[in-house]
Amino acid sequence: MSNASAGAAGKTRKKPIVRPMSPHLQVWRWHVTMLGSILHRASGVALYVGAFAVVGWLAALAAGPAVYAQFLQCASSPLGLLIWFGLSAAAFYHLASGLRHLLWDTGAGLSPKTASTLSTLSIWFAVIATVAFWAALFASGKVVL
Amino acid sequence: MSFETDKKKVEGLGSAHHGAGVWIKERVSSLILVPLTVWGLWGAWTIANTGYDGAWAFVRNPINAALLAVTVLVSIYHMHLGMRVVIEDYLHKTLGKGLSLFLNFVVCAALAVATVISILMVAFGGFGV
Repeated sequence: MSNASAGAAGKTRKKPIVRPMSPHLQVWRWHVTMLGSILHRASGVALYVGAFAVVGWLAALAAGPAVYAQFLQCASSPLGLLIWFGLSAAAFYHLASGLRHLLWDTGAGLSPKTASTLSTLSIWFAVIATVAFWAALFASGKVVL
Repeated sequence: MSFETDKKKVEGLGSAHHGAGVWIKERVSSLILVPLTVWGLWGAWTIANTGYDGAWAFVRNPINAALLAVTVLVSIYHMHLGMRVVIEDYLHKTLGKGLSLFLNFVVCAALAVATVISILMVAFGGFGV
């Protein structure tokens, strides 16, 4: 015992510092700010992937009419349109949710009620703006299936 | 006299007062991107169904070319910072984390180079109508 404690005293420097840890995901009741946070990260990662599509568009444009025609064929296919649709939804959400975060960064809107309202608003904004954007694209004949 | 190193003395006592750097970079890039994202969506609306000629004419316009370059490059910078946080949150083993962070940098750098070259080629190149 005395040996053990002497050994432990010699090794105290190597003991990991115990810092407070946030509770794990499962112990939380589902709430809208949590959904907003998850969607913010998910839409951010989706936009990361979407950046390849946008840079691909630019590269195809730079490569000339023949390559661009091929790009357009992919981009205007049902799968291509679905990707652009998802990308626009991610952009609208990340934009609204990002504004919510910028507001929070000033210290405003952090009461549970206001925070939840802001989160609900950014989700609804993304839904409505995306549907309106694509309804206008189809209505004007710019996009056809 | 103590044999404690400087690191031991400050360990666990909090920030060394430059921890907010990345946080500020994220906010500054996001503030720049707020209007530019709206502009980018407007641009997508404008060139939809205009084919090669329409897209070419759009990017050929110097103001559009400049705004497009800033939009895409700041987006790449912002998404590099964001993906870095995601990697640091989920990957804790040195090798996997290090490789992912490296890959994140390489991918973003490659996208940025492709963006600059493509915009320059359209803005100053010979293709088009």
